[in-house]
Amino acid sequence: MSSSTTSSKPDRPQVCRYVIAAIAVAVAWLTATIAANILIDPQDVFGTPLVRVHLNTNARYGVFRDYEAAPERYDAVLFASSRGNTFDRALLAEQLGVRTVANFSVPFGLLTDHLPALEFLLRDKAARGGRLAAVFLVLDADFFGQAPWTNDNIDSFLPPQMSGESRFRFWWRYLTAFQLTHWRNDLRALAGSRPGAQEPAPVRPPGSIAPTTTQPAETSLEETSAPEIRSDLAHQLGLLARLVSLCRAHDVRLIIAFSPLNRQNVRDEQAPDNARIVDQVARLAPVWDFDRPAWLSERADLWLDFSHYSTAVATMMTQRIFGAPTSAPADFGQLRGP
Amino acid sequence: MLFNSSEFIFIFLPLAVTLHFLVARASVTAAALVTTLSSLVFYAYWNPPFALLPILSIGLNFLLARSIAGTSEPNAHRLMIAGVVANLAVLGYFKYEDFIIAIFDARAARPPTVPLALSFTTFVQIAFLVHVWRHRVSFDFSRYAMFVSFFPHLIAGPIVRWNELGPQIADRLRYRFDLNNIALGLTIFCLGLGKKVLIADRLAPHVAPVFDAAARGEPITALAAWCAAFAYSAQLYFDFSGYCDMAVGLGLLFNLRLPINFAAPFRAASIIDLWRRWHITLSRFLRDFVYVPLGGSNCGPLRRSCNLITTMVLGGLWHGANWTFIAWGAFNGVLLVLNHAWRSWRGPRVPTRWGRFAGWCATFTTFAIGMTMFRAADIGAMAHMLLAMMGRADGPASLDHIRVGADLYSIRHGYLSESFVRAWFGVNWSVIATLSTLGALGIALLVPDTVELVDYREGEPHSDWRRAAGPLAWRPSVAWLAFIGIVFASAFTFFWEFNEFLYYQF
Repeated sequence: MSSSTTSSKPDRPQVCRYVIAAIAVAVAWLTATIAANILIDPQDVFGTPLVRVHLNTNARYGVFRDYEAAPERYDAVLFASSRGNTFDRALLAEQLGVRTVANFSVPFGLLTDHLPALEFLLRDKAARGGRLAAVFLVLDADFFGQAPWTNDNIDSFLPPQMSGESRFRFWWRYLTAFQLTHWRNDLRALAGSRPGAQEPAPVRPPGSIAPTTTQPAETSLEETSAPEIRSDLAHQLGLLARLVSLCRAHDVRLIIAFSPLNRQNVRDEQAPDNARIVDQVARLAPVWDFDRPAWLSERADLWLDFSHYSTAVATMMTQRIFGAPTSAPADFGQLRGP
Repeated sequence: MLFNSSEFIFIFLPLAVTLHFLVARASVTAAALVTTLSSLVFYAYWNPPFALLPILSIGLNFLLARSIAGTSEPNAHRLMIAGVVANLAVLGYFKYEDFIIAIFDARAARPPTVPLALSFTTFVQIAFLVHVWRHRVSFDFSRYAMFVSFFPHLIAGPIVRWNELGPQIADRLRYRFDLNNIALGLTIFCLGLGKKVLIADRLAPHVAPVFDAAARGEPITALAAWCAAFAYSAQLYFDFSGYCDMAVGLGLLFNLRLPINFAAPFRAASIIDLWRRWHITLSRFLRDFVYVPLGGSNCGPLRRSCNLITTMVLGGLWHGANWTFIAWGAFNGVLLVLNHAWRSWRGPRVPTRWGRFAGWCATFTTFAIGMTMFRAADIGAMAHMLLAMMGRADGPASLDHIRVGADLYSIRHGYLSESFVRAWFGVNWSVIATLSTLGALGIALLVPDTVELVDYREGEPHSDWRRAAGPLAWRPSVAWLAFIGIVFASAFTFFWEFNEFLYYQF
């Protein structure tokens, strides 16, 4: 056979050692990576209890795991971006007339996250002989239609039960991803070697400005990024239409609200574009629009940062939507119809 | 499944190789069938229902080829023509249907959903049918199925011929485990992996913002446009030649020697030479099945020019249903015509050192211009990029639109002046991108290529392009083991990115 290439063949033991060593290096590298991922668990998907501080968790998997822990408890669901985390779910449940509201608020959550989650919940409830009574959907006019994070990075993959991806691929990804930075950050945070490491920084959606409320936002190099383009708008409007029709088909009460925005985060020239988004959504279903009120933007105490409003604001929104007494001005929140 | 993925390297590949050689102990035919099955699993991993297409295609082409081999000449010729037309019809349906309809409807064509590998397997099967018609070769199903579906070349080539791979598949001695080939195959695979993951994929984020800006009609400085054109040329070369190296390496794991597809094309000093060294298996297919049947170079200079341009336009169109590919093909056709005219005028004189350098500059520059056409999203974006290269797409760039943050660190720490960066590179290119591009081109031009390092010569049309690898030449030594270990470990750190090969889209 003349299938070997080199003209002067090296001796067999030397080649054998070379092949074995090459394969051993590759296998060792893979094994070390798998071990690091399981032990450190940077996305908090394996539930390994060794490192309890994670700076790059997969919140999409996290909300799913929380739900799976006691699925029968929930008969309503809150879909939102990270802004939705400030809602008082007990109050929401009381106003919706349900037992418990599952929180599916995820960083930069968009319809690409919410619709697969709803489809999963409807399937799951039906399989368990229950039903979903209500969906509380909080949208963000400033992010709606932008390229989604969903399944885009290692911290944003939907669980296979929602995405339809094979479980093998999902878990293989988290086992074999080489993520030195995340391992190091988690270990540093664990050791407390970094100042403030014990309190992970909140995940900020792109475009939001850091919470330095004492000074007006300066234009720095990082912040002069391109205005985000709503490259996925038509797709997300289609997903929303499907979500609305699914709720109707399954007799699920649907409430949609647009988050209030801070004028220091969303500039005047962006307002018409955001208003256009609200109009387009309102053509599909009634929506509560909380707009960009000046009084709210001026109250630093009502904001966690320039992007995320506080629980007090979320409570005012809930009270306004359900007609409960509230301290908010009368013009806070308008119901917009198709 | 991607060659540059951990599931391929650590699960699929070891299983496929082990199964092949284990089954071969009992039956060579069964081993060929098992590897065919492995290849179909490899294909189906992308989109299981689409695996029906290669299965049907292999089955129908096999029956057709058997008919061609077993019938008299007039019938065989008719059957061969019917087979070629049928294969092209399937390709045309998936790839060009909407493009053609859109021309009549005067609208923009939608991007087609082309089944993976269709463009390549169509050419492999056409070449096979013609070969069977010409030579009346004998073959059986297991060999034929493995020849077409063999996963190392299935998705994006090299475009193999029956006369080079068929006899190897039939050779029983090749079904024995060969450590020399395993060592060499692993080495070539790792070098290809490094080209793809460590070079091509690192250039991609620099290239995209410039071409995306062109698609939106935004200002681009001339320097940014030229740099992006050179960067994309390097990206495509390292991406595709990396893929081909990996394919060759994988073939060697099965004791099969696939033809090389690149012969250090960036070192070519003429456009004629470049096209002999770039995507060699496609060039020879187009030569044998388009250029020569059209009359080749035997019908006078005018006819030859028309044949060249037609061949290159069809070669461009093969890459996709887009006017940019047609323009790219026509542009290269014209360059080839000019190059032939220059050679005729100049005669057989050997160029001087400076003459060769001037030829290299002209070749590489025009190639990069062609790559700009190739990469552009549409004709409008292509025109915008070409205008930018002439300095006519510049304009006041607002800092609000900065898309490239690569230089931010240097600017903030005073190593670079922001006004300098913005004046020369605009908001879509950076100094770091320039350095990365220069580094990649330096490797392409100065470092011996994979097939030079390992002295692999399969399918090489000529060897006058080769440089001696000298002390860098591969041998199963500790130094080489350390080198490929570092390359593999570095590439592994990027596996999670999931970057497809550029030629998967064709």
